[in-house]
Amino acid sequence: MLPRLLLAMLLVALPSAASLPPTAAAQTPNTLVIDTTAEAESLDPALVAQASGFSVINSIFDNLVERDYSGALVPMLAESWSFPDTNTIEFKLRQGVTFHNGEPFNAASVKFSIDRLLDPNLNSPLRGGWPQSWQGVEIVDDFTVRFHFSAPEATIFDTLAQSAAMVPPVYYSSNSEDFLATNPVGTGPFKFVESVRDDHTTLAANPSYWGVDTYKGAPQVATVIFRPVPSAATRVADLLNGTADMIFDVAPDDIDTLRGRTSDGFQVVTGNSAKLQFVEFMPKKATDPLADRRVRQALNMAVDVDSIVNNLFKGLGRRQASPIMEGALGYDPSVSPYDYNLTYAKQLLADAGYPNGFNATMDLANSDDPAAADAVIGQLSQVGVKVQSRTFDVGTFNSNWSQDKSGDMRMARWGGLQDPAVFLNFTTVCGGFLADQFACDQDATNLAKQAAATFDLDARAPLYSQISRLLHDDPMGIYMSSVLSVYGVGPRVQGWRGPTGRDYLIPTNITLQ
Amino acid sequence: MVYILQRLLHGVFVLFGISVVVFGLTWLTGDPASVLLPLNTPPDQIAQFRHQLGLDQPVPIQYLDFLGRALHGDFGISFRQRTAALPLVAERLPVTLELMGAALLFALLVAVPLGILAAVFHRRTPDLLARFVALLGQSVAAPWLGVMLILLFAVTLRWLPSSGADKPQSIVLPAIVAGAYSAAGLTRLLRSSLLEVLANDYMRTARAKGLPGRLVVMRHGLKNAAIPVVTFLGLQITFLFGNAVIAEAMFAYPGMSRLAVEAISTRDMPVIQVFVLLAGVLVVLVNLFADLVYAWLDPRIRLA
Repeated sequence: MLPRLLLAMLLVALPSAASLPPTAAAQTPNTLVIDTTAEAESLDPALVAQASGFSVINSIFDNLVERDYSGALVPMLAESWSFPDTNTIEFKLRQGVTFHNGEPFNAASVKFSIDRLLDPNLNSPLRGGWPQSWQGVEIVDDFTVRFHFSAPEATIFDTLAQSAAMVPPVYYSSNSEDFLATNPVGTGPFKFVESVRDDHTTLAANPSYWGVDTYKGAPQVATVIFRPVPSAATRVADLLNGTADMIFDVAPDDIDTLRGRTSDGFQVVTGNSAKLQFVEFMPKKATDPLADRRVRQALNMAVDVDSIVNNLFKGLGRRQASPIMEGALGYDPSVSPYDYNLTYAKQLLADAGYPNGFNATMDLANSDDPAAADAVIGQLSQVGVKVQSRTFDVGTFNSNWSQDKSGDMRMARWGGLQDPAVFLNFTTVCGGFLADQFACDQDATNLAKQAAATFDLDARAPLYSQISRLLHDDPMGIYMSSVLSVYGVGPRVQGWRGPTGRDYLIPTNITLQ
Repeated sequence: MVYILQRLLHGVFVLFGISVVVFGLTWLTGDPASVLLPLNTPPDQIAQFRHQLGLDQPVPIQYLDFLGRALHGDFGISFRQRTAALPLVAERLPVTLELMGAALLFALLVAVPLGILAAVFHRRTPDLLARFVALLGQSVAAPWLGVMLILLFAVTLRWLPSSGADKPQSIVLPAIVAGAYSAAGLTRLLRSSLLEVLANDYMRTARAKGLPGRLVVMRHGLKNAAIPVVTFLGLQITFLFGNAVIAEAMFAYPGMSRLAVEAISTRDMPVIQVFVLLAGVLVVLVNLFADLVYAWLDPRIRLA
C-alpha cells in the first residue's frame, strides 16, 4: 500500500511543478516594471503626501518648478520668474502645453490648481506646507501669473516643486473626488492607463510630451508598470528573476547580493535624497546637561559615525557636519565634521561638570532600523552617557516631537534638505515648532529668519553657509550622515539618469534591451 | 433551524463586542492626524483636518455615530485613501478568501495522506517522517518559510512567481506559507485521531469480516476520525487568516489584509473597522458551518 500511495503522491506533485513555464520574467518588450514599496494613497496629486506615491504622481504631472537630478531648482511649466516687488513673484508660463485630455495649460490652470489644493473642502494634507503669508494667485494674462504674499517667504519654491502639480480645470471641476482619485490627468511624460489597487498601476508614454528638453527628458518605454511590493526580500527576488526591472529600497543586507551579480548586468544605484540622519537634542530645562553647548559638542565627538556608516549602512551615506548638508543650498565644504575623539569628549564633559557622564533617554520610531540607535547608544556609554531608548510607532513618535513630550534625544531623519529653510524653521530656530528652546542658537535663528524672507536663491546661499558654521560649533544634535536611497536595476535597463532628489524616480530616458 | 438562528444571534453579539473593542483600541493608539499630515502642518490646519474627519468629537459620540451609520451600511470614508471604506475592503475580500481556500486545500493535501500514513504505519518510518514534517511545519516561522520558498522556487528554479497575483500559479507559494502551520497541526491531529479509532473494537470486526485493509481505514476509520478534525478546521480559520496576512505582505498579494496593515499603520479607523468586522463575520460563519458539519458527521451530536 505504501509504495502505491507514495507513487500517487509523486505523480500528483511532479508534473504540476514541471509543467509550469519559467516566470514570464517582465521580459515583455518595451514594458518597464518597477517594484515600489507601497502604493500612493490616491492618484489625485493634491492628496498624495507620502513619498511612496511620488514616482507615479511625478510621472503623470508636472509642476511650475521642479528639482533636477542634481537637486537644483529648474523651470518646468513656469519658464521664468521675477520679483516685481518684495512680496510678489511673477511667473511667465510655458506656451503650447496641453494636458493629456486636450485642455490647454495656461494661467487659469495655475490659479485653478493652486486654489483647489488650498481649498479647505478638499482638506489636502499638503496644504500645511504652504507659507502662512500666502495671499493668492492673480492672472495677469493668459501666460503670466503673480503670486502674492503678505511677507516674502522663500520656501514657496520648494513647496511648488514638491506639492503643486498642475491639473486641467475643466476635468478636475466636473468630476467627483472619487473618480479623480483613480483617474488622473496631467501634462507629464506618462499618461495614466489603469490601476488595480495594491496590485499595479500602469502608465503609457505620452508621445507628445512637451518637456523632452527639460531635466525629465523623453518617455522612451511604451509602458511602465508600478507594483507595490512591501517586502524588501521579495523585491530583490523580483529583480533577480526578471519580474521587475527596477526596485526601490534595497536593504543593506541585499546590496552585496546584487553587487555579486554585476557580471549579469544587475546594478545598485544610489541617490542622494538630501536626507539627514541625526540625533536631535531636546533638553527640558536650562540646567539639563544637553542644554550645555560643551556637552552637545562632546556627544558629537563621542560617536564614531564613519564606522557606523561603513559597517551598518554598508557605506551608503556620508558623514555630515551640519544640517546644511551636501547638496543643500549654501553647503560649505570647509565646515568639517567633528573628529571622533573620546579623550577630548570626556574632557569637555568634565569641563561642563559631568566627569562621569549622565543619564538620558532617546526616542526612536519603529519604522527606523534600531541598529543605528543601538550603535550610537553603545558609543555614548564610552564617555559615561547612559542612554535609555524608547521606541514608538511613527505616529506617536511624530506627535511626541516637542520639548515637553519628547525624550532627551530623538533619533530622526529629515528629507528634502536641498532647501534648508523648512528644516531650520521647524527644528532648529528658537521658537520653531519642533525645536528645543534650550538647544537652539540665537545667531543661527536670526540668520535663518533673514534667509527665509529672501526670495533670491543667490542671496540666501551665503546666509545658509554662515548658519552651517554656527550649527557646527553649537550643534542642535549629533549630525550623523546623509541617507541614500538605494535602487536595484536589472540588466535590461539602459540610459536611466538616476533617482531625483526626493525618494522617487521618473522612468524617462530609459530604453530596454 | 432554531439552532442556526441561535448561533447567528450569538454571532451578532460577538461582532458588536468586536466593534467596541476595536474602536477603543484604535483610539488608544493616538490621533490619525499625526500620521496622515506632514510634520510641518500648522496647528490650526491640524484642527481643521480633525474637524472634517469628525475626530474632534468625544470618542463615545464618535462610536455611536459610527454605529448609527454602520447599521445603514455606511462605514465612513477611508482617512487615507478618501474613498468609502466598505467597498475598499470588500472588493479585496474574494482575493483573501481564495488565498485562504487554497491554503486550506494545501493543508488538506499534505495532512490527509501524511496523517493516514502515520497512523497506519504507527512507529515506523512513514510515521517518523510525518511527525518530523509536522514538527517542522509548526515550528517554522511563516516569514522565514516565505523567504526560503521564494529563494528556491522563484529565484533558483524559477518555477513560480515571487510576487503578484497575475498568473494562475501565483497563488501556490502564498498558499503554502498561509497553510503550512495548519497542515502541520492537521497532520498530527488526524494521526492521533485515526490511531484512536483504529484501536476500536468495530475496526477489528471490520477486519475480521474480511474487508480489505484499505477499505477499513478509508471507510470506517477516516469518517470517524474526521470529527475532531472538522472542529479543528473551524478553529484553524483564525490561523489561516493570520498567516494569509503575512503571505499577502510577503508575496505582494492584493488581498484585504495588506490594506488592513497599511490602515493600522496610518490609523485609518474606518478601514480597520470594516476589516475587523468582515474578519469577524468570516470567523463566526465558518465556526457555525463547522458545527453543522460536525452534527452531520455524528448524528448523536445535537444542540442540547
